[in-house]
Amino acid sequence: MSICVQGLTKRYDRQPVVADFSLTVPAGELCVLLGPSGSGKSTVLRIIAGLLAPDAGRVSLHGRDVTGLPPQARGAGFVFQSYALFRSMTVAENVGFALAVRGVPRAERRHRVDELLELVGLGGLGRRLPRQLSGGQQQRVALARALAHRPEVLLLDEPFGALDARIRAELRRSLREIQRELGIATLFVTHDQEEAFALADRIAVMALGRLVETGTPRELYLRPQTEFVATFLGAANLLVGEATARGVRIGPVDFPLGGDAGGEGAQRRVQVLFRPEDVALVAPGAPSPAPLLGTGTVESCAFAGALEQLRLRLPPFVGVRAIAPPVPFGAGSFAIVASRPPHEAHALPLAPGDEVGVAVRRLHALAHPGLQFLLLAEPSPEGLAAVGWAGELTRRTHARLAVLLAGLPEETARQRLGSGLPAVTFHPVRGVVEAAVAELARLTAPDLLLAGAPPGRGATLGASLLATGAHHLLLVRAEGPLPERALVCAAVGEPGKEDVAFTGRLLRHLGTHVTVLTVLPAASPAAPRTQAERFLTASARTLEPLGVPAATRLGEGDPEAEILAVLAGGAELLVLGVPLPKADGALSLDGIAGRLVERTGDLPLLVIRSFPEMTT
Amino acid sequence: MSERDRAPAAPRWRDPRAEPPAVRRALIVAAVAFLALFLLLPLLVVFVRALEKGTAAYLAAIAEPYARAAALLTLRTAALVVPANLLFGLAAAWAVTRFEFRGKNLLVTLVDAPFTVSPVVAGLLFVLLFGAQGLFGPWLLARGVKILFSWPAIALVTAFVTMPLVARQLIPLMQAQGSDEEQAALTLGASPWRMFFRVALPKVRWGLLYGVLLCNARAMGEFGAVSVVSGHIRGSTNTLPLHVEILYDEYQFQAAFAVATLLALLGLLTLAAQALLDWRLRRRGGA
Repeated sequence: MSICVQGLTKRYDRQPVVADFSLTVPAGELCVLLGPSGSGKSTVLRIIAGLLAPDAGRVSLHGRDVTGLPPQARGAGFVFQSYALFRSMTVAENVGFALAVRGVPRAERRHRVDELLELVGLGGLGRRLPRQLSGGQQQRVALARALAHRPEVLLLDEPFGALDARIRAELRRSLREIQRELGIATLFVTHDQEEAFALADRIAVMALGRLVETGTPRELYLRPQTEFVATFLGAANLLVGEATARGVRIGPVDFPLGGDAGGEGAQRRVQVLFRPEDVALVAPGAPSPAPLLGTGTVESCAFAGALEQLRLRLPPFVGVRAIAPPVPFGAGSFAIVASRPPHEAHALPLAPGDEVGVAVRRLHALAHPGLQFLLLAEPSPEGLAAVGWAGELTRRTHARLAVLLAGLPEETARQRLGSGLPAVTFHPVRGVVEAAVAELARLTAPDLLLAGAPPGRGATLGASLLATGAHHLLLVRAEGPLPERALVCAAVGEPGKEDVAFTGRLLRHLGTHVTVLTVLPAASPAAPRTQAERFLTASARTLEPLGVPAATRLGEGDPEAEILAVLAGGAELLVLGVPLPKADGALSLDGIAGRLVERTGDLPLLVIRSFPEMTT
Repeated sequence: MSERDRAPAAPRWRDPRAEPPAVRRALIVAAVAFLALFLLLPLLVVFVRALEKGTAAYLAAIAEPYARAAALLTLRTAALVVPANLLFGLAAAWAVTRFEFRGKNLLVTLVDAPFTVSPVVAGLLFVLLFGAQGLFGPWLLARGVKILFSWPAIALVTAFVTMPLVARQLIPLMQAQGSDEEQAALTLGASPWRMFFRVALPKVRWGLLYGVLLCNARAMGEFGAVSVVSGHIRGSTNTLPLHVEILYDEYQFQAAFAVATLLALLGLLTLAAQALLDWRLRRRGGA
């Protein structure tokens, strides 16, 4: 392996800019590290080069651990966006710098410099000063200079960012050729997805300091695992549908998903992606080659070279929520983007206002769908603490957030939520709070409801909030940072699996360490014990692929005392499953769960419900 | 007849951002007149008065032992102070532009402090520190170290007064240039020393030289602060500016002006060097 980083973490002012980042680039591969600006990708690159020291994690180059070594001893070639050519030296002196440092004799140096300048297409320009060259030429010099000492790895930090499109394309081609010729492991940082597609053997997508997904350009485009990658790479139609036994239901249509029906355990909602080119447009009434989604109105169509691009408006379906392309909240319709080649456009000409049948040729379900949160924002101290939590949690999980303003002004809520939230909507409460929560929950279908819980009211409030929809519940009872350690109390069986699965889905973005605890009655016989052990092993196996560090613990005796004892060892979040609903469908937080809620002070509480109909 | 010919004649075009010609001319004349009155005329007077008794008297005044001692002291002070401030300026600029540390803003403000206090006050400051009744004076005197009214004091106040000059040149320059080149040098295998001498220093050499020139001019010409701490001992603690003043007070006008020409020549030399640097800087398009 050529470049291998493990668990890199870097903080500025205690704020992590890179969090638990691991990546391996094998010899000969060109890997593009892609992410929006501020996602920490340049920081990763500088840590690999030794220009920055990580707070945690290891870097090895060609199997040699270089974490503690200065940049000189790492021998990585580094290309800067600013070129960073030595302005007082000639081009040849620049390229030969690494050789001069290494004491290579003059004649040999000149030979190698000429060879390198020839390689990057600048033969004969060695006597010029950097500023006498164009930007593109300067970056070629920088590339030659970085390759002079035959580095084992090449690192490029947005190298073509300052150049215009034509020169960028030209340099990309040269870089690709040179990289193939030298067979050198290369990590290329950019925020430009087009550049990533053009260059990469493999793309690693980064957001907010974390690695979101890696894969070949093709894999990431056709079968992304996460909402972030689905919408970040290329145009996307992303809808949330209902899971069925064989696939997914979107409005009136059942789409089979084959072996692609991703998802983590029991899930009622599935996020499905289809690209503009997966949409087939058919004349109304004509036979459709693919499952028909409905009849839409053409909103706009634009000629874009090889493809015609259209935007269509469809009437809303019950139970279907659109994520991309975004539509204004409550618009009463949703939008679909489509594209088609000229011969199709010729066969069925369309203009804005036309009605057309919209069919979908291919659907892909996301394995790690995005999260939707609902926040009950109240002006009480606990309510404000919940707003703070919601802001941080939404930022870190790239979730969507709907805020129900129950007595809290929107301005205050915005301030406390903080900046950098991708999708937030605000809704005032009209009438009874519980009814408003239920109404908004019906509209936004949240995965999680966040609310503040004053002391002593946790159990009753929790039960009434759980009754407002089909969401899980996070009760915040005091100001505090996001948890570093969480304790999941799970019973053996299907509901317990859901507890673990949702906890993993939520906490995988936070770097939280999870302990899964199961408590058996005192002096249990061997059979339930084996079963519990198997359950715990399976839990850890569910969490680890999500990147959640997990430990397990098997307790025995009084569950309540056991849980409190483990909590005393340190945890900033308690995860509890609610008992299955009673025959009348009402949930309650009686019994152990209720007593634990009252006995855990101001510890934040994640209450997970299970869906009996999905557990078959 | 074409469309164009029938169009009404456009009013004479004038750049809307530029001032009217009359204003422009008036401003230029005012600036030149001001310079002539306050710079060229006095300079001319200095040289005329210095040479009014002929070249022989001029040379005699310059070669006179006290004048020679004063010139030597001035040169010696500059030779000490300029390198010291060069090192300080580099260190301060490097620290300010490359590191994040507590009190960084305070350091930047303090670097400027010598410019904000009157030189006479600066001189008094050193009297308070090293005088016979000063903070360290008695302790030092007891050990036979005499600072006040001797050349160490002159060097110290001069260093104080000229302290900001190099740092002030370098800080904005180094901020604008960034440190990518230095980092590139490190990734290419250069040792920190090599990086500094081959990459970092050449990057700022013109700005550095400019700062050194300014520092030198000020070090040779400083009067107020030096006057307070020198004690005016002829042949021992008189610098050129102080010597000029003594001669003038003794009504030796020709001699005073003759010595003053030395200072004026040093100043002109600095100006010329500055102009050359400016020209080079522009021609090379950056430092």
